[in-house]
Amino acid sequence: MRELFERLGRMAVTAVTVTGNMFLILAQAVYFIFIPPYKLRNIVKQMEFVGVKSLFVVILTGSFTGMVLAMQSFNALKRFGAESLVGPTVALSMARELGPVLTALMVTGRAGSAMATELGTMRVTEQIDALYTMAINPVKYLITPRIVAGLSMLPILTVITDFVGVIGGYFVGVTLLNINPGVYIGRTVDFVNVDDIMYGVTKSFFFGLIITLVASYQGFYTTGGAEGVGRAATNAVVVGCVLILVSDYILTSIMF
Amino acid sequence: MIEIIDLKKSFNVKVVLDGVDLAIEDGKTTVIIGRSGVGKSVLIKHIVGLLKPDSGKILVDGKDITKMGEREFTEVLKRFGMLFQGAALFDSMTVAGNVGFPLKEHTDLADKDIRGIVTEKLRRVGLVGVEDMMPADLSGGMKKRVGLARAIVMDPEIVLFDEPTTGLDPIMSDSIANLMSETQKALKTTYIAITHDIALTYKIADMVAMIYEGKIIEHGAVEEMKKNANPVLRQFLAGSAQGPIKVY
Amino acid sequence: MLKLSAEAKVGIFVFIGLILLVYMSLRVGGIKFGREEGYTLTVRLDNASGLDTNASVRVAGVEVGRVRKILLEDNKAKLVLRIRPEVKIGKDFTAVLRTSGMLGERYLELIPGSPNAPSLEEGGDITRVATYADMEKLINLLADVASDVKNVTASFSSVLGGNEGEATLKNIVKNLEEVTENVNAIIKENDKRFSTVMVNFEDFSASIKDASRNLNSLIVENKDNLKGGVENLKNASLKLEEAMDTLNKIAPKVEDTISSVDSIAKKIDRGEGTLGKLINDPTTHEILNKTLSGINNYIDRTERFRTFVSYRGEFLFDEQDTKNYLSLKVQPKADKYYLFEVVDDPRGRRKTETVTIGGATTSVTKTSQEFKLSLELAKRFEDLAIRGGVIESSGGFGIDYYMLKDRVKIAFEAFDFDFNKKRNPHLKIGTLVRLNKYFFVTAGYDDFISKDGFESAYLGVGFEFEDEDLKYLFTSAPSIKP
Repeated sequence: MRELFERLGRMAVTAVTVTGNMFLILAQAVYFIFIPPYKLRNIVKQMEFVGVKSLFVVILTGSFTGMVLAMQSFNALKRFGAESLVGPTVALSMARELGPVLTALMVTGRAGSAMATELGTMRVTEQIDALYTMAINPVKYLITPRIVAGLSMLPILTVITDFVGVIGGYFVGVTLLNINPGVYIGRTVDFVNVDDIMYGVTKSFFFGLIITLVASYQGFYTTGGAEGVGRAATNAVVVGCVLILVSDYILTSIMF
Repeated sequence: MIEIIDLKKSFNVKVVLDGVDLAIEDGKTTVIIGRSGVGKSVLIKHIVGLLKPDSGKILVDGKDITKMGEREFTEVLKRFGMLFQGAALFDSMTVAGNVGFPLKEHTDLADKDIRGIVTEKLRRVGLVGVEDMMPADLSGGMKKRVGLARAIVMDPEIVLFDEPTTGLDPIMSDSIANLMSETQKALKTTYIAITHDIALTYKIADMVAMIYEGKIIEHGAVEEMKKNANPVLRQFLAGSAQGPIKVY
Repeated sequence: MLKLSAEAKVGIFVFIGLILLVYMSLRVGGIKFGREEGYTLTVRLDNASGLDTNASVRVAGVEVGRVRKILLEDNKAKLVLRIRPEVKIGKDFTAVLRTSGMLGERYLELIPGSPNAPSLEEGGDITRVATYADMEKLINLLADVASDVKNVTASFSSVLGGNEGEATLKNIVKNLEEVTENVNAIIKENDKRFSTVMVNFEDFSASIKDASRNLNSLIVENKDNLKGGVENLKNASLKLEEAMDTLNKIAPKVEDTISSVDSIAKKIDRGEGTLGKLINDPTTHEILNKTLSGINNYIDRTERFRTFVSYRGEFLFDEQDTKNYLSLKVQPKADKYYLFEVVDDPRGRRKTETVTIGGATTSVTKTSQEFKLSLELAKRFEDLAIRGGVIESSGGFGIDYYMLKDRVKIAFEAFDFDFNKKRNPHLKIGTLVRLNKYFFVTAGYDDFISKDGFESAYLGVGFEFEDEDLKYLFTSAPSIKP
């Protein structure tokens, strides 16, 4: 019994410490965004890693999600004779919810784990200590570029996901389910607002921050050798995904 | 001149450093010896500020680095070089990128000039034509050499070595030891090394300090230490399992 | 394959993303780029339920604009419409709230009136409103009808249904049978009497024949008397003829009178004479109209006219000092404002001067401690604002991008251009985040390509409030010009 309470207490302390550390890292990383010199090359490299290299997987996910959405909503809407609403359904779901969230989850799986692994390896092989002894702030050198990359690339990936999702939905709706193409596009344009897209894009800013911050934190504070690196990668994905879904709920309730 | 005064550090309840006092002379090689896990690494990490002490002072030219703000300490750090146990080369960069990294970050030198300095430093550690190789393609000994080249590229006043021969075969160890004494004599730099390698100690040390149970128990010139009667030091230098040091 | 650098790849990637974003925004937002074109009309409805802002406004089913605002005014829904500039809406158009399809959205249909009616101008009001049997009402009505029908059939079935009902029905049929039997009996019984009635009737008609014969003989006997009567009648008609003659003589005079009345009316119509001029002069009408619309405009302008006073202090990290701004923003229209700003810059004001020392001429950049002034004119296009004028006592321009309902602003400005290229222009990029109605924080990077070591990151706070009194100062001299 006592053991249980002790364990709960330890967990609570750990949770608070982790949160505190994460915010400290965030504060430092954000502070360094504004402090020259800027290591543009580093930022560009991370942008390429987070953004360009996630493109394929994001396009794949986006288009298939759009196609499935079209098919599913067609089945449901057919019963009301409202097949014309397939377009808006696909576009609104993609823009407001699925675009940002799916993109964030895919990027977490691909880039978040890789980031944690890279930083974890640097930690256990003392590369981070080496940076420090060379009078280079490791947060500025390693974490700031990653967070900047996350903040800037996730919105763009989200826009691409939205777009291919709508294209996927259009393909299924018009060519397979025989919805009139003019009606499909017309209804979509009628029902979707610029705000819908912007809400999704705004969300993705936060997701970009969460993904890179969590992965950086997990990697940066890795302990325990190769096993620790593996744990960091796993944690980066699990904690990242959970935080994305939780914050998605919070952001949705604030924005709508 | 580095002075360590009554330095204490505990991790949770385990006391690692229990009042370390040590003065390190300029221009000489000081080797800190002791068994694995007695806090040699902890001590050296305090000197470069990777760890903060619970109490005590570390004075570099009379200024306490433990009380310094980040900017001031950064300037102090630029006078240091450090060779890590596993060399700690950046996997993502070539050898030249690694060695030239501190120059690129802290100086306004053109890439071409940096390249020149890098080649010169690499030659000094006995490496030629490896500039464009990746660290993963190097052997352990070569990594150490590249690490040394990186540590001395900014011409630091003080170079710290964390177990410079660990994981190397005896011949490679000897070669690294030669390299260390050569570079030290050539540049008149202060070298601080921690090791449990007695052969290395005899080869490179001007001064030796022994750390035992959280304190420096003996400190002196290497010739004096060889004659020292302290049974703990005698046992360690002899490499014997019999003696006052308990083996668990 | 072409080997691209990481920079190029990221560049292409960002470019594609932005193009897609702009494309999608344009598609779903209708084709509008920059400030919305067209003019504004208002209409008041008793009920605007189901209508959203941005609902379309249609004429003959063609979209001509959007509903921009829905307000409540005197317990009526006041809609502010934005109509495309090329579309003319007449004063006699009728506004009707309609629904497209069963589940479709609500929109506002404007039904044209006569083609000659004058068009509504900016700020005009569509006064004619009709309520249509829209889907909702129709469904309600159908439901009522259905329930009535149901009631009727229900009472029928309660009367007719069941054993009792059947018995009643049988009774009714039986009674009917009895009635027809009785009628038959009565007819048979009275058959004889009918025959006698008929015979009497024949007698009666024969007597009438005799009577008419008598009348004839009577007329023949009094022939002379009748003649005299006719003579008298003739005399009377002659006299009547004379009377008609006199009347005929008067008639042209009447005609004259009528035609002169007609000509007066025509004259007035043509605008001859003072009264005619007053009535017919088109300018009278115009002046009246203008006066009214001028008053309207003035009230409108005062309503739209806004002035803001703000202060912000930005801490320059590299300078370790604060740059202060005191500004007055005068906003005569939602999409346009003037900005007057006093800037206290710890780095002072820079000037490049040509100095001749010992025969050699060199350019020297000097700084002097003095306040800098900005006077800018800004024009806003949707979320983008472009401004220019004097920035910090030198020519310059700026671009602002507004996000999240204006809560966040990203600003870029460039000024202090030195055409001798001795120093770089002063560039500043930063963001402003509003915390609430009054307070905001700023952050960014000032003078970031400076050659003189003036570049610095900054972090600032400030406040802004709207001043109601100043506004009347600026609008107190109205002109009647529309």
